[in-house]
Amino acid sequence: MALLIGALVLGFIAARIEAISDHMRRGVPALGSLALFVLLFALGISLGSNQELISALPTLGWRALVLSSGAVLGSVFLVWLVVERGGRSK
Amino acid sequence: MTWKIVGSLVAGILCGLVLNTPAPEVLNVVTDLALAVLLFAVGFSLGEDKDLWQKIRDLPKISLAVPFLIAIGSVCGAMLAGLAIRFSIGEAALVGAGFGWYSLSAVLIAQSYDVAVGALALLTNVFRELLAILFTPLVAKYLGRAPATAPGGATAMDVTLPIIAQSTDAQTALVAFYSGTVLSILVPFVVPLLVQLLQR
Repeated sequence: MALLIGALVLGFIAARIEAISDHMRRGVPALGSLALFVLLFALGISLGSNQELISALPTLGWRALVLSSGAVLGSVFLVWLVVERGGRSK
Repeated sequence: MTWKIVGSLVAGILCGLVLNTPAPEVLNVVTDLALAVLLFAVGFSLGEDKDLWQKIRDLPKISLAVPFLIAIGSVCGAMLAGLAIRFSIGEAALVGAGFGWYSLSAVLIAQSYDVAVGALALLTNVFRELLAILFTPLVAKYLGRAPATAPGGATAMDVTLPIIAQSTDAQTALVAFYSGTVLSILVPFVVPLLVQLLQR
């Protein structure tokens, strides 16, 4: 948690440093994308090698998929209803 | 971009399945490093936006309610889904209250309630993260910026943050980070609360 907030703040401060060249500035999003791929690859490895997870998949998989879809749809719907629709009617 | 994202994840899962020799310490270090670089990049793009403060001030006040809307929507959505498949509504609510933070919710539920429901929470919240990785860009495109912070739930502060940032804009990325942080704080309170209610 502290690491995440620290990195976010550090990035914010770094962007405000005038001395950083445009060339370096262009490199940051590319570095971010690379980090995302590394992160997802690592996430995949920990999921794929998680015996508990893989063994639960055949019996609990479809139920988990239905419940997670419900949670995603419910949260998207409520935020859409209150923030997007509600905000627009003002 | 989405294909590269899915490709990285699938390649990782296949490697994990085949290798079967995880080194958790190494994986944790790599994950933390990648997360730090990611958050640095998000912070950098926020810092490059010179009108950011004005844009934050222009955000609707209702943005503060976003994590709570996501929490209520997630639990109710999971309950409705549970009802549809004739699964225990209470346990569906419990599993939905993981908000995508699979490691914590699974452990909390397995320890204080039931091991099988813990395994279901693990799987459900892993799926939530995967669904968020896949569908956040679509939600942003068709339903708007604010709803794009919802699928990720608690993971909107780390894994799904760059995806939200890329599909929306700087101020929505900040709302996502705030929302993910609040939801992460809520998990260790809401899950035990629901366990208490279920055990009555």
